[in-house]
Amino acid sequence: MSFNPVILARQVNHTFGKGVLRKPALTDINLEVQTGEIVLLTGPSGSGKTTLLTLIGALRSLQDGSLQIFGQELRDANKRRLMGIRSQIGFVFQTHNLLKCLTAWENVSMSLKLHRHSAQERKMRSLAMLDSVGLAHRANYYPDSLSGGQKQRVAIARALVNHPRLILADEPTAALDSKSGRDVMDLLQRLAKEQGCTILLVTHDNRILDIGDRIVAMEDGRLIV
Amino acid sequence: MSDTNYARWFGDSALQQVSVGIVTLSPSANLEAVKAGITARVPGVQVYTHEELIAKELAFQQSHPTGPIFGFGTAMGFVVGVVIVYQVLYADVTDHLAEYATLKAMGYSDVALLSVIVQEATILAILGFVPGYGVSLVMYRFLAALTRLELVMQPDVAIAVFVLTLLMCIISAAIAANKLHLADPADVF
Repeated sequence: MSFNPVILARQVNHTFGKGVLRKPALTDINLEVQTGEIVLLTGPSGSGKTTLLTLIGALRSLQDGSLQIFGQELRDANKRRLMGIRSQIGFVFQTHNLLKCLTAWENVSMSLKLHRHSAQERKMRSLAMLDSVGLAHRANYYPDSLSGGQKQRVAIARALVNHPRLILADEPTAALDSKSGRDVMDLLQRLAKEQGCTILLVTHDNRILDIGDRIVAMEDGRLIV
Repeated sequence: MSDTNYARWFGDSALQQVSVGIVTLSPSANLEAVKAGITARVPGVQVYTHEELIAKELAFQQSHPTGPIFGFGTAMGFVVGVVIVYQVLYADVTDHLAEYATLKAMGYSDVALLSVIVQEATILAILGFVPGYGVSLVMYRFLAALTRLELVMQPDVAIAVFVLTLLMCIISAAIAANKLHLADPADVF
C-alpha cells in the first residue's frame, strides 16, 4: 500500500471559461508523489498551481486525464467518494480560514468531528495537537485575539489532528513575516515527518524552499522538469 | 361594542329590551328535556346549550367580514414572517460563506451544513416566540380590561402558534440554504 504513489496524475488538462474565452489553466500535467515526500510547487502567479492543488484536493471536478489520490480515481467520482477523499486530506490555506465563533481548540476539533470520536477524545486530541504546535496556553482564545503566526499554527493543528495521509498547503507563509513563516514551516515539516504524511505545498516564498525533498516548477499551466 | 354603538346599530329601544338570558341548571337536570320544554312553552325564543352557543358565535364570526379579515391578517403575518426570517438567515449565510466553504473543503456534507441553518432557524423561532407570547399575554389582559370580555390564553392556541412559528422558520431555512451552493470549496484557496 505504502509503495503506491499518494498522488498520481496522468495527462491532466483543465480549462476555464467557455467558447472564445476558453483558456487552458493546466496542460498535460504528469505528476507522481510518493508517501512521505514533501514536494514544493513553485511558479509565478497565474501558472496554475492553485488549480492543480484544488484538483488534487478533490475540490474541483476533473475535466480531462486521470488523477488518482490514495489509489482512488477522481475522474467521474461521485460526491460521496470525493467527500471521503477530502476527509483524509489536511488543508492549510493561505489565509487561516478559522471559524471566528470558535476557540482555538474547538477549531482544531472541527476536523475530528467528521470521524466518530467521543467529545472527550476530541477535546483531548485537540489540546494535545495544540500543545505540539506550541499553543497549549492559547487553547481557549478566539482567532481574533491570536497573532497571524499563531492563527496559521492553529490551522496547521487543525489540518494535522486527523493524521491525514496528505497535506495540501497553499502559500501558508504568504501572510506571515519571515520569522513566523520559518517557524510555521519547520513545524509543518517536523510534524509531517513524525506522522509520516505527504505534503504538497504551493509557494513562491524563496525563504522556505529548503524544506522540500523535491521542487516542482510550473509555468503557463505546464510542469517544468 | 359600547352601549352607544349598540344603540346606534339596533335602535335606542334595543337598550331597554332583554335579548339574551341565561338559564343555569342544577347538575342533576336533564339538559335536553329542559331545552325541549322551554322551546315548547315560550314562543319566539331560541334555546341553545353552552356548546351550541359557541358554535353559533363562531359561525357568525365566519360569515361576517371581520372574521375572514383577521384570518387573512394571520396568513399574511405568516408570509411576512417567512420573508423576514429568510432575510436574517440569508444575511448570516452570506456573512459566513467563507467558513461554510472551509467546512465543505474539510469534508463536511451539504446535509451537515443544512442542519446548521435549520438549527439557527429553530433558535430564532424559540427566541421569537418567547417575547411574542409575553406580549400577547399583556395584550390579552389589556383588551380584557378595555372591553370587559373574557380573553384567556388557551394552551392549544399557544402550541399551535408555536408550531406554525417553527414551520415558518424552517421554510425560511430551506430557502436560505440555496445560498449554500455558492459556497465553493475551491474558492477558499
